[in-house]
Amino acid sequence: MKISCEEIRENLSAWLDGELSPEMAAVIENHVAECQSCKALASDLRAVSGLLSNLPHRGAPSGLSEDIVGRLERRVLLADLDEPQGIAPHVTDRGLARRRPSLWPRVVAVAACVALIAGIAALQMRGGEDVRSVGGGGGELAGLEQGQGQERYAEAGRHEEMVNGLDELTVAGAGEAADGAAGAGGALGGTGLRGVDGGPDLAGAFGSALPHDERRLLRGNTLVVRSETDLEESHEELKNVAGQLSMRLKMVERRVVRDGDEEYVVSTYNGVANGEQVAALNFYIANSTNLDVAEGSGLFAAAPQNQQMSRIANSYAPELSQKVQREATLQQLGRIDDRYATRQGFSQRLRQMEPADIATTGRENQAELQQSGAAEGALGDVASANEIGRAQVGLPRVAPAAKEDADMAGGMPGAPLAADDMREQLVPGGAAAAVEEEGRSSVAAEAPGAPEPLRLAENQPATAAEEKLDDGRDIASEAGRLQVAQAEVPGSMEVPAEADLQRGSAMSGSLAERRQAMAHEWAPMRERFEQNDMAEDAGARAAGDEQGRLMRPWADGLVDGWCGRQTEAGVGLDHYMDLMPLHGRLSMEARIRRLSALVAQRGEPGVDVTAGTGGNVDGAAAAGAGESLESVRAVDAVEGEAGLSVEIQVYNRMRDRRVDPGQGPAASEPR
Amino acid sequence: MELCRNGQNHAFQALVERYQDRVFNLAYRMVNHEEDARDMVQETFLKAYEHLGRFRGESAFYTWLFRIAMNEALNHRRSRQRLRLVQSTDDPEGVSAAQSQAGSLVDSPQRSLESLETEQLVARAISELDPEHRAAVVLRDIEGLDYGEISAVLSVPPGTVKSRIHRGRLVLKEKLQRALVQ
Repeated sequence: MKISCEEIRENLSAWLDGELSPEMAAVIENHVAECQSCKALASDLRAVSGLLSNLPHRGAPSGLSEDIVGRLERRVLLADLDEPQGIAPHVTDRGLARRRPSLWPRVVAVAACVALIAGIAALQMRGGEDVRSVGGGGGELAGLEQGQGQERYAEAGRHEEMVNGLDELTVAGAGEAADGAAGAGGALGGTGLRGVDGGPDLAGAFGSALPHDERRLLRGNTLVVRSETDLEESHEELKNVAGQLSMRLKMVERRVVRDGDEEYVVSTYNGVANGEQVAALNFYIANSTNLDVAEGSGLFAAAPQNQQMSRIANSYAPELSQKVQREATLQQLGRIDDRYATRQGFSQRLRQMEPADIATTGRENQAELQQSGAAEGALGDVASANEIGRAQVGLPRVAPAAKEDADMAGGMPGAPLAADDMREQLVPGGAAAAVEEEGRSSVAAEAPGAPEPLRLAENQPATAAEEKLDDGRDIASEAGRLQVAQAEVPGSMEVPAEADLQRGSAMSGSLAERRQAMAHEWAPMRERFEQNDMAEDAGARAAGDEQGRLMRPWADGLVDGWCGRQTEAGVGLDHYMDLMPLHGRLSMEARIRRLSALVAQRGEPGVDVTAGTGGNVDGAAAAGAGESLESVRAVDAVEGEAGLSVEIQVYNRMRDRRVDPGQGPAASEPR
Repeated sequence: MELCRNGQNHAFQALVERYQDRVFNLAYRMVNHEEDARDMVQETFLKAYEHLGRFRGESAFYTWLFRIAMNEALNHRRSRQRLRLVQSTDDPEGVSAAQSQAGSLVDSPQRSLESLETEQLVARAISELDPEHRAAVVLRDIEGLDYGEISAVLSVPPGTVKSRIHRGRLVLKEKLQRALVQ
């Protein structure tokens, strides 16, 4: 084959690179051996190639991958939620902001589902299968029915929607959940809850499914949420969600970020979560595919120390798929809703009345409640009587607005205090100290939500009140005793004499009957707690776990005291189910203080009960998942003394106006 | 990859960490500017994530990634050119970076200086190539791709790849006469 030098030269680079056929390569090789000019060119080209290939490799600068992930998060977060696939090419290419349905109602639905889980756990207790998994309650429960409970059941229509979604649930084993750590599978795997393959994946429960798996990104403990609502609305909604999850949240920063032509107000909230709250959050996050949650699905699942919490969530999971539980839950929810409606109606009327009519109304209401629901309304009576009793005995009241803030478990803007601190403010004249001494740790117990018209003792002469509320006095007297009983240190509850309880009260008869019934109903639960307590205590002693041994009585005392109080109030397991998920309201600080006080009372020197516990002494919650208290403490110790820290960022797109984060609507305080 | 396509971002992050060095080196040699290369790599991975659903596994992932990176590099350069007109034509960042690398690898100051000068010379010569030629040469001589892979990355026929590499090397030969003599 005869080829010109020009043609040979055109193929020299390919020849040097070994990209020619063997025949052509042989021709080139022969030619180069004979042709000096082509040989020289081949040599130069080889040298050029060598220079390039010998250039030092430039590795990626440090932090590049983090930058990429950060930008990815941002794009995902700010991308148009209606994009069918992935993220928008450029966030600045989005069209005008579209009004979307609020994120939070669906979040509330999830939170309600969390409540449902807890409720099912309560049903479980009735069967005596697993008592400890529900955790210890506290005096704080008494007041929650009037706070978060009202908000929650204002959303009563969501129960049906929520429960229907359970049909779509399937349960993955804990082992599978652990395997998920290989990728973001840890996100879904965290709770072991997965949607049926190809199925709607909880869509029926939480609204239209947004198949944006890409939106689930992991960044430490930060949950980033994009909200299309305005600032105040999203803030209020977040408050509501925080309340539903019984989380303490505090807004720590509000700033404006610019992205292309658009500006966003980014509100950052910091919070602390205890073990059960983490379990609830884990559940919430695991199902966040159906929410407008941009990232955080692996929030707690990813960290090994949080797998304990995932297991707690898993312990609840199997029940969700059981239809019989579903049916029972529906019934329970319906009954609670009915009772709540009755109670709510009474409260509304009560608030509109003149003080002088309250006593009469109390009697009428008692009759009305007996007609409409007999003992089912007992709790409402107790609450009402408590209010009257407060007025009679002159106990300080709590301003409604402040009470609402306290119900939000503190920490929000405008209510930046911890729950107990809030209570200190709300109970003037040294009453807080007295309350602390008596072990009345519950904010709720001190904040029954008395509206302005009920400020009887403060606004009316005592004589007038006595004259017009003569019949109400007995009710009030009983209410005062009940209140004292509720405020007892857990585990040392004193049951008022039956004769006292029945004295002169129109409702005493029905309440006494209710107590008897409830005592029977709660007895197995208390026994079970005692058994568990003994076993755990023995185990703790054997392991030399002094702190664990000291904490057990406290944790179990909470439950024991709670059982007793519910018995006293004539509240059945169904109502316990109503309130249980909210029991985490008590602040960490309060728990630590109570525990410390208890240990001090018992004369146990030299033991710092708060060390390494993170303030989370809800041993019952961990024990329910078959875990030791020690493991929970280890988890919390890793996360620091304040429990697991959580950060939530909410992005609000600014529309047609500039918002100064330090002024105007953006900085407005929550209602 | 399968995990990534399922929206599992841990897996995507793993991909980033696995390929970022290689993509950065490619980008840096294409634009000869560290900050530009950094931006380019970020955009590359963001676009890869964005279009992950389109990757069908018919080619190697890095081939697909390089294709995105190359498109990004060419676009990136076009957007940067106007800025460069008002900046110094020197690349002190590249010099300092090269110095630090060269200094750690060679055994004498003289050798270090020579290596540094050579690298700068070569890097500048590459950056002055026509973009199409530069891409082909970089993919071949720096990244070590064969002609078939380069054809896939650049979406041009293999014959075009062969031609561009050869033309690019010829231009480099002229620009690097001094280095070649050394």
